[in-house]
Amino acid sequence: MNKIEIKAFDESYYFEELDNGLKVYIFHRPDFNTSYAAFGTPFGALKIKERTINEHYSFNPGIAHFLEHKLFENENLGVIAAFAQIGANVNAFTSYTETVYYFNLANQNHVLEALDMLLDFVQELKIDEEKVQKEKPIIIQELNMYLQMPETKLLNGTFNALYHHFPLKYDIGGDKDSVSRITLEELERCYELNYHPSNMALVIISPLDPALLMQRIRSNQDRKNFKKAPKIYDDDYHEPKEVCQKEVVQEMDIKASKGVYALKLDFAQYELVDIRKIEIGMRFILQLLFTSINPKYQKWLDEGVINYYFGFDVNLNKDYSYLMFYGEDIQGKELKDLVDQEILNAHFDEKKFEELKRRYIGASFQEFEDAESFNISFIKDVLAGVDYFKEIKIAMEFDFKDLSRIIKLIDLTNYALFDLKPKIA
Amino acid sequence: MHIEGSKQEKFKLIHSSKFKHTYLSFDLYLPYSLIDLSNALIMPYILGQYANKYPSKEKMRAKKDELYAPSLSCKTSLRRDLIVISIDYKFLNPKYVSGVSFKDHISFLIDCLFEPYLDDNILKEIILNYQASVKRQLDKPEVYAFDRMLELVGQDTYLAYRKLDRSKEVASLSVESFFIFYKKLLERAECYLAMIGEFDDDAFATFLKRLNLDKRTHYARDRNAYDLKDRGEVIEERELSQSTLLMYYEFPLVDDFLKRVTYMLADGLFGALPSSLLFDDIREKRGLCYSIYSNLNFNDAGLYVFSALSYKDKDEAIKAVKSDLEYLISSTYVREHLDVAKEYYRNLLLSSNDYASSILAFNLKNMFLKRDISYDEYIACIDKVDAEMVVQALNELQLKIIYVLKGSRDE
Repeated sequence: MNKIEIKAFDESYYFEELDNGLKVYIFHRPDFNTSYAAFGTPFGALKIKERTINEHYSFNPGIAHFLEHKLFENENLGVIAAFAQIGANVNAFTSYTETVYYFNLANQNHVLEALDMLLDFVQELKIDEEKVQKEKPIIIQELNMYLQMPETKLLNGTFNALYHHFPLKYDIGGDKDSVSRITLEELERCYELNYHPSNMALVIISPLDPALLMQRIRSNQDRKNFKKAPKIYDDDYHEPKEVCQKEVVQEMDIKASKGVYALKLDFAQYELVDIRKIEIGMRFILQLLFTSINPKYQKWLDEGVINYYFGFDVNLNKDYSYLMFYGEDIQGKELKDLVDQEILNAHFDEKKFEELKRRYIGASFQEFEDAESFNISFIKDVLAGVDYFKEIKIAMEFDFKDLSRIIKLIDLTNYALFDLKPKIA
Repeated sequence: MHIEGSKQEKFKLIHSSKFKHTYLSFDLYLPYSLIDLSNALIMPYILGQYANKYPSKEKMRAKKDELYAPSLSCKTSLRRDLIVISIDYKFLNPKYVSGVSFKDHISFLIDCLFEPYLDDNILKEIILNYQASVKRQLDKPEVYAFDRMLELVGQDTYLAYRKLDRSKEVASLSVESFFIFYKKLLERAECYLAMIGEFDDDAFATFLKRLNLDKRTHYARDRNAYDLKDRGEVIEERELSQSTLLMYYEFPLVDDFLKRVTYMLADGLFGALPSSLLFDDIREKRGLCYSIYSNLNFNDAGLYVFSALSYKDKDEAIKAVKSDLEYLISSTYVREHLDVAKEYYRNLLLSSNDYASSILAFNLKNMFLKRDISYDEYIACIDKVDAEMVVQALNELQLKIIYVLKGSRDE
């Protein structure tokens, strides 16, 4: 078990990779009451096509989310009820890029037991045909619930406009049809491919002695036999570089209309480490141009062009990258005009950039304050192959001169506009 | 952790290095009769956003960045007959950065709190954004349904003040009316303050002095029960693909702490716990929905059950909620599951001690309710509750309305 110290943040953690490949990270917080543990796999909603050396697999959209639901069952007592018996709060989530199972527990007498329970229920899939069928209407109700939220509709609509085949175009949970098609065999196959310990990580924050925790984890894993891990590759979705639809308008029973201007970018040829740096740079650029740092921001508010809802998001990866601007009571086309003008005429002020860095430092420290959400952020980075602390260091040492180089990487020609309008009766 | 407080328990200062930030929270209370609620509703758009020294977003942003992005936020909420303005200030402990001291933060806070800035242009911007925010919230079916249900069941009570859309009233506000309101708030509000972190008592004394806590009024609370009318089942429709079910129960006002804990456990067993009876029966056994839970509010002495489901299943769900409540009262369920509920709430309470904002909220509530309950005493109360007490609490729940927001595209 190695101790890694991060002096700038007054933080440290212990790391060990077990014989079966499971990566374990432990943050020791002696003055905390509660232990937090998160156990995850980089298997999220985007993985609906995978391949091994010999075979190609296709899955129905929503399979990762379905699997998460089913792992929460046990032959005798449901997982939630079993954790509740010892006072622990257990939950899970599936995103586009990972599935994570986590608990928190203040009663330290039960933490080791809870760790075993977490490892055990995630590492054994106990399902049958009846349980799979029973879950389908519940998941469909969950999807219906999210679909009624304007933000979900906005995001799904935008991704559908950007992508032809890439699974970002599907909701994380899939849709009614894809969920109905999911089979027991498909779930078992997915589980076998994506839940091998060598593919997973466990992150713990606890007042307990890290050596004691690690010993328990080792002994839990030593008891289990895992098949040899198949080497899995993401299959190609043959996604064209161009957006799927330039302009989309949808109606909904809402009062506040919403617009999106989204850019489909391509960083497939870049190394991951460069992509991370470019994304950090783009975030700085967007903050400098599209928040109150820019004096024009107040003008846009005064003129009613934007309101406080206006915002942006950037997500850069090897296989998909996008930049998105959204606003209320503004159409996608108007957003495009505003954004393009700022990007094309951008010039940056070094003093403001340095001020922005101070904000970034403040925000980075803030991440540590909520132990559970820090635990989740940390495991998400681990599963994505990103070094959480290195990322912060890159941002803190970011060179002002790089901004002008990075802004040129924003291709304004490959865009989609999405408008969500109130339905008129 | 070193704790000190005022003799009259109007503030609590907790020295602690557990967190990397220092947190300061204070609540200001005023009765509806003294101020116009609409002015209070725009407070979150002003405090920490505009001050005489920083009269634009750009200037305020530059100052905050200079201080390593402290967070100064404000929230308006309603507690029966009182309007509550909750103010939170959170900043990175100066030892982690250079060039910023605790005094700098206190000066900034004083500038923002005692010298807020508002002009006609900013007010116009705030009104537009308030209205947009209301529309945005009501576009969410869950929020819309809850708002409608309270409006229907809460007529002629304080619940009626909770109506979300006050666009018209807010639109008629003026800069003058806001400053009249603000003066009253600063001078006449009942106020409680709590702080946790690394701070300098002497530097903080300047701020405490300006707040003048010891001379503040204590407003008498209205403790009359609402005694809501039974509104039966109300069905309304919107063009949605799913329906929302809300069932609102009233219970007698509870002041006694042990009884409050009893109600909390009853709510947990009924629908608030992740493994509650409603979850087990209606979601897991019957598969009628994905989401079902209950939630209680001691200020209003109300408990509601929420579910998002298909309209065709609503009758079965309503029947099941009613029969689950009956089952809790008449079977051995409470006796068999009470220990699990207790363990859950003990965990929740102890876990909350790892969050600075929860520690402050706990202390503020103690001061507001003029009680001095420690975490240990809270846990002792949880231990003391028995099954008979829980059943008695459940027996006191009276269903007042069943509100269904029918989705017209719900298959």
